[in-house]
Amino acid sequence: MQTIQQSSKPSGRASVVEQLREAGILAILLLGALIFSFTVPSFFSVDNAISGIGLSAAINTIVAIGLTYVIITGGIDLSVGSTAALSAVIGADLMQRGLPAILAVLAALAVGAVAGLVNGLLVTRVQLAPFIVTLGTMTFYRGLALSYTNGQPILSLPDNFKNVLGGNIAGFPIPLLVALLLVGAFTLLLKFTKTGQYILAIGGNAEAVRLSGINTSRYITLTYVISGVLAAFAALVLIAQLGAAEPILGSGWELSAIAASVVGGTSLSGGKGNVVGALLGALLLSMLQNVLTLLGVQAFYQLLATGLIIIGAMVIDRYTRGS
Amino acid sequence: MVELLSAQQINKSFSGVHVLRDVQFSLRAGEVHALLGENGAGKSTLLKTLFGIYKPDSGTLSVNGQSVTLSSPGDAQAQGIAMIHQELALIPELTVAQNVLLGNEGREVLNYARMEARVQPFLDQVGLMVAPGTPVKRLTIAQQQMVEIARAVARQARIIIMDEPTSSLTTHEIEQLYQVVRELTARGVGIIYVSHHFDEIEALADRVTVLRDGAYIGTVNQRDVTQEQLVNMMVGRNLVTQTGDHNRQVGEVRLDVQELSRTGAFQDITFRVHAGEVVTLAGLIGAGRTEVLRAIYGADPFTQGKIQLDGQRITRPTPATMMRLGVGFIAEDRRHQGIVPDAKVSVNMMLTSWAKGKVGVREGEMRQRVEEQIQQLGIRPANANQIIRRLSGGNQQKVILGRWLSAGCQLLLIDEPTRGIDVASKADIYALIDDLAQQGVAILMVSSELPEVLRLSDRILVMREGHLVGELTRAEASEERILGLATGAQTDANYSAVV
Repeated sequence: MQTIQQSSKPSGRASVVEQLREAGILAILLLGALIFSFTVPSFFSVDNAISGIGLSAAINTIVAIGLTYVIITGGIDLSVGSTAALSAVIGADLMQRGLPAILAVLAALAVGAVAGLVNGLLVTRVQLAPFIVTLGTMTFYRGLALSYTNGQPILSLPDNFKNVLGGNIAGFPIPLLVALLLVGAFTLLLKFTKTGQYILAIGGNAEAVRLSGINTSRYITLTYVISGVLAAFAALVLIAQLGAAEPILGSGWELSAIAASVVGGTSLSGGKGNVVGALLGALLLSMLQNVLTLLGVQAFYQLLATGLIIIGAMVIDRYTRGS
Repeated sequence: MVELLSAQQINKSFSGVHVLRDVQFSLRAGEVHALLGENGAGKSTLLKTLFGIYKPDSGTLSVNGQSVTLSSPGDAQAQGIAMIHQELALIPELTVAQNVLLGNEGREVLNYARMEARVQPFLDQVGLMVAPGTPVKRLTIAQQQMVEIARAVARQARIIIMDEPTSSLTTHEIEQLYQVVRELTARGVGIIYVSHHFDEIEALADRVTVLRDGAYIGTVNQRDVTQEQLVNMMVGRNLVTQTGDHNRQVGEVRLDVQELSRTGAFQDITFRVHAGEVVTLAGLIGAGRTEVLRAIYGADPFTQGKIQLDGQRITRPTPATMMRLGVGFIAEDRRHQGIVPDAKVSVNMMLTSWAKGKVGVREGEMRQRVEEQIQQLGIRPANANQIIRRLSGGNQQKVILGRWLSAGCQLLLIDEPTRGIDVASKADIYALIDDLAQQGVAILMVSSELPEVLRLSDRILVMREGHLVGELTRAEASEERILGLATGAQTDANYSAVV
């Protein structure tokens, strides 16, 4: 049978419109940076770019990578902030008790993994709604973190820990570097492995994937584990900066990370999303906050601006998809 | 000849209702075996049984002469059975190649170039002329269907079940499908083909098995029978003539629909409904009947045409305006579009009356009205405070009817008035509809149950593929004529079918 070969572009999985969309956020980001560097004094300095925007964006990006994975399956993880706090206080406590930093870090990541596993199993085995499950564990993990430390912060973390995770390589802050590496790794995982493609497919049509003989529960659970581990990792980056771990750290992280994912083009109804978009979203939100702070705009106006960005991104999404 | 598939004495019931009774079916290598029956005859249930989605209560299944038990679609696939579902089961965001290979990609790290090269021969086989790297969401429905067929071929399926594969295809696309089906059968694949369209069956099928009311009626060679004979097998010979009360006086024109169209759904629909008249839109599932009904009520838009109510033109109907103008609407999907499942009977019944400002939300104000309706409609249990979810389907439907009766309506639109309802409640609802018409209410309904259509209607409008293709008065109507018009086996001279 005759076959007409269409111009087969290097099967880039994402459609032209989606790539344009990503490019659009990047354009907004660069345009914003350009405008601000002329209009806002002290915006365009290496120092501000790194410590003002980069560090907060790095932490948000790390959390948002995990949330992007969860959201792609059609789920949500509200517990990331509490998971972060729980992992941070346990990791910090172990360091203070004299455990080598590397082991304490692994223990903290394991705490994040277990927290995510609990979420994932409740979602897939008990078949509860992800929103409800993680609303519950959000409160529960926070309670665990607070009771573990009696509500007190854990101070004086070892220097080697602070120097590594909070340090620089050739003037480039390690947190930012790690965030970029993670973005790269999770982009490859999503685009070029069976696991990543199954996760996307589950969000698109879970029943079809199940009927194709694929264990969907396993992959959904995996996304919650990833989310938990990355939340724990983000918390370690933060406490290395601060030099102390507070049980109340991470409140509101889930909202910033959801915002970054969504602004970056991940669909809350699942099936569609990308990690680079989450990075761009996080950078955009951090830049906006930074500029408003530099301009001396009061915090409550900053909230208005952030809110408008999120809604604006959703409106754009609605119209670019509504063809 | 060894049969690819053989099903014997298959029985299946759902909560006491016998859906399949001693059904048999067999498939030979290289044949197209059509499965034919009216809506509700048990075709879907049989297909799902053959694909491992339902487990039969009794009966035997064998594949290639070996007795098998299929307890999941995975089992069926392992036996070389594939199913092209009516609602396509593809992942829109993934590429053609990924969808074809879903679950059989090979190594963990994906090599897209290799996957696409692997898939290309299967696409060639089904004549799908798109690059394997194209995301499925950018394909037409027909192309997506070919992807599904390519997937079946890639899995080396020897038995392919196609459930109404042409329901959303154009004539040209149907031709392509025929060609693919013929190539598959030439290579020894057996195809189970479900369709309501006799022209397709004539073009493709070697044998035809007919089911009626869950019972096996017979298997015939397609070339040996006429369409009339098949229709007779589908509806049965001993048709009980149901009688309703039909000494009604028909009044003024209440609803006047002119050239109503919505692209892709229905075209040039023109008809009238008078006060005191029951008019039914008949036709096959997917003919566009529900869409017309919903457009009239303003639940969905229309692109062209005119709707007049009591001589007054309604330019942009919405459910809220139509309700105020005295139009009632009862949706087909009771659970999702009719009841508020966890609310009380009283709340469910008074929803519309509240909106009309006829009654307040205080219990005392509602009680008398609700209790009157419960008595009048014979709702069981007769308890206004019962949560409606706990009522049987028939009683839920009566509550919905009560909703419109107590709000008052002059035109009632009903989609499948007795779907999923027991026989006793059915009779009650028929009596109620007769009664409403007697009181001068105009009724426009959609029904797929032919005995019901004949029992209730003063006039029957038959739709096929989005067009009105015929009109039958009560005296002219028979199951054979309705089905003939609905399938295109017969035509009505007054309707120039552009189909």
